[in-house]
Amino acid sequence: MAVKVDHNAIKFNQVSLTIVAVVAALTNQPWLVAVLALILAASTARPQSGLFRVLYQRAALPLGLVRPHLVEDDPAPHRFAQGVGATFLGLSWIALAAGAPVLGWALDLLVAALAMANVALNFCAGCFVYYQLRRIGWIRGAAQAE
Amino acid sequence: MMIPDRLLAFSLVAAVLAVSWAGLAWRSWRFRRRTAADLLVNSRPLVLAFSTPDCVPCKTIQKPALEELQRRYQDRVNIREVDALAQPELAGRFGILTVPSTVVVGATGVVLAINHGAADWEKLAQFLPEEV
Repeated sequence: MAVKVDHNAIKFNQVSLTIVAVVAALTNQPWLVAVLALILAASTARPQSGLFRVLYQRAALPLGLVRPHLVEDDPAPHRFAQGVGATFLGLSWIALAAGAPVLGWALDLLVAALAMANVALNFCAGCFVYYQLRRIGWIRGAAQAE
Repeated sequence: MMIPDRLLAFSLVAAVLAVSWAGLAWRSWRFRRRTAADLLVNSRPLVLAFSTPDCVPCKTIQKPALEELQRRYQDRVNIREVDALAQPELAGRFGILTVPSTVVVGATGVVLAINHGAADWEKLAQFLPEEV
């Protein structure tokens, strides 16, 4: 499914996610992890209504902080990666609420580290998992599904 | 004590990432010991670029880097794009774990580098022999 995807919006999303996740760990605020998980889950379900997307469109773009970088591609892997991030952050919050802070903060920081690996090192952990799942046939690609 | 908990969590994540990186480096080193002379055309260095049809960074990062490399090296290097899902045996031969991945093969068929994740044209060029 070829649509225009704004790649700077995705990077903005990843940087925002990293900042909130790290701030949550530094200030010991588990509720921030829950909020972050909800933001990512909502963004996975409806990408246009995600909080970071709204901030990008209503603040970052008008203020000239970033410029759109539209590329024609398949948005499925992005949504998949966000869904994985939301799941990990959900598990992180559950662990924190259940009294397992080491596991909880480790999951939170892992999501932050992988998001930054994508931005800084061009290593897409979501792509890694997506590729492996497609390779073993657990996920069908958009081209195959049509 | 929450601060030691968070420090422990940070250390745990750092250790996981370090072990993953070391494992990846070791795996790449193991696959680099293989030769790929049978893939060369006209004994020119070869860059194999593994992707999939729905790989985003393959289109947005890797493909422009390959185009830049081709523009600079012209016909002194061959660049071959490979769909890793359509050619799993070729992907398996170099231990491809993710896309985009690139494999640089020298003019003698020696595997010079295996890059997991997007690689810019300068990174690919540094593995190409001086005489190219």
